[in-house]
Amino acid sequence: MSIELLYPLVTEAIRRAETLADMGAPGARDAHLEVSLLEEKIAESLPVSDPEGALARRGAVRAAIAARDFGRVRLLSARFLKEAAKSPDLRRDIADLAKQAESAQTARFPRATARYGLPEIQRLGRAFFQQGAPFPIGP
Amino acid sequence: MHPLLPTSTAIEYGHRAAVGLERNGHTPGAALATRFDLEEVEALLHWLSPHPGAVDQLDKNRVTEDAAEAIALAFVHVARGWVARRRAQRGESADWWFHDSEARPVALEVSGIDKGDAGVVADRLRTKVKQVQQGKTANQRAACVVVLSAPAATVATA
Repeated sequence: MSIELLYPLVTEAIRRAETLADMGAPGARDAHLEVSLLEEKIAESLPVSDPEGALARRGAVRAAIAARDFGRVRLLSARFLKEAAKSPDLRRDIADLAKQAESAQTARFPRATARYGLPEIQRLGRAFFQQGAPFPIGP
Repeated sequence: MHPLLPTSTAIEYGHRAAVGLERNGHTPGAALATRFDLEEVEALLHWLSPHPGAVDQLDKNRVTEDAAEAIALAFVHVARGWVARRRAQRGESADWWFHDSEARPVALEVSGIDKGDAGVVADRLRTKVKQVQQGKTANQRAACVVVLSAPAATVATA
C-alpha cells in the first residue's frame, strides 16, 4: 500500500480512536489497535531517517499502548530500536514509550507485579496468549 | 486543497465548523481575523448551514476542537500553501503534519476555544508553541489558536 492510501486511512483511524476514547466507548482499544497496525504499515514504507518514518514508528508503539496490547508494544519497540541504531532521538522516544508501557502494566497489575515482578507477569501473559486457553500454564 | 485529507473527514470538519460558528452567532460569509506571525489579513469564511438539530447531536468540546482544526487547515493552506499529510496521535508534539511548497515537513499544533480575549489567545499560543517545539523531527513547527466567537485564527511559527 502506498503512503497516499495509508495516510487518509491513518488520519481517519486516529480521529475515530480518539473520539471513542473520549466517550469511554468499548471499541476504543480495538480502534487504537487499528491505528497501530496502520502506523506499522507506514513505518514499513518510510525509512527511519525520514521524519514521517520516525513519526509512524512512534505512532505504532503509542497506539499499541493505548490499545493495551503490551506484547505488541514489546515486539514493535525491539524492532524499531534495532532499526533506529543511528537515530538517537528516535531511540530515546521509543525507549521512553516502552518504559511508559511498563509503568502502565505495573499500574494495571500492582499486586502481581510487586510479588512476582513484571518479567514474570509478561511471561505468563505471553503463555496465556499463545496457548489460547487459561490453564495450564507451563514453566 | 488537501488531497490526502479523507473526503469523509473533510465533510465532517466542514459540518462541525459550521455548527461551531453558528453556535457562536455567525452566518456564512463571516469575516475571519487572521494573523500569521506578524502578518494580519482579513479573510471570509463560507459554509453550508447545518440543520437546526445538528448541534444537539454533537459533543460541545469536540465541535470546538474540530471547528478549530477545520479553520486552521484552510487558513495555513491559503496563507502559506501548506498541504496536509496526516493527523498525528495525541502525545505527539503536534496535531497535524504538512508539506510546505518545497515538500519540507511542517508540524502544526491546533487549539480551539469558543471565547477568549487577546491575553487568553497569547497565553495559549505561547503554551502551544512550547509544546510544538518539543518535536524535533519536522523542519518547521507552528501553533494555531482559533477563537470561534471572534472568529479569529492566529498562527505563530516556533
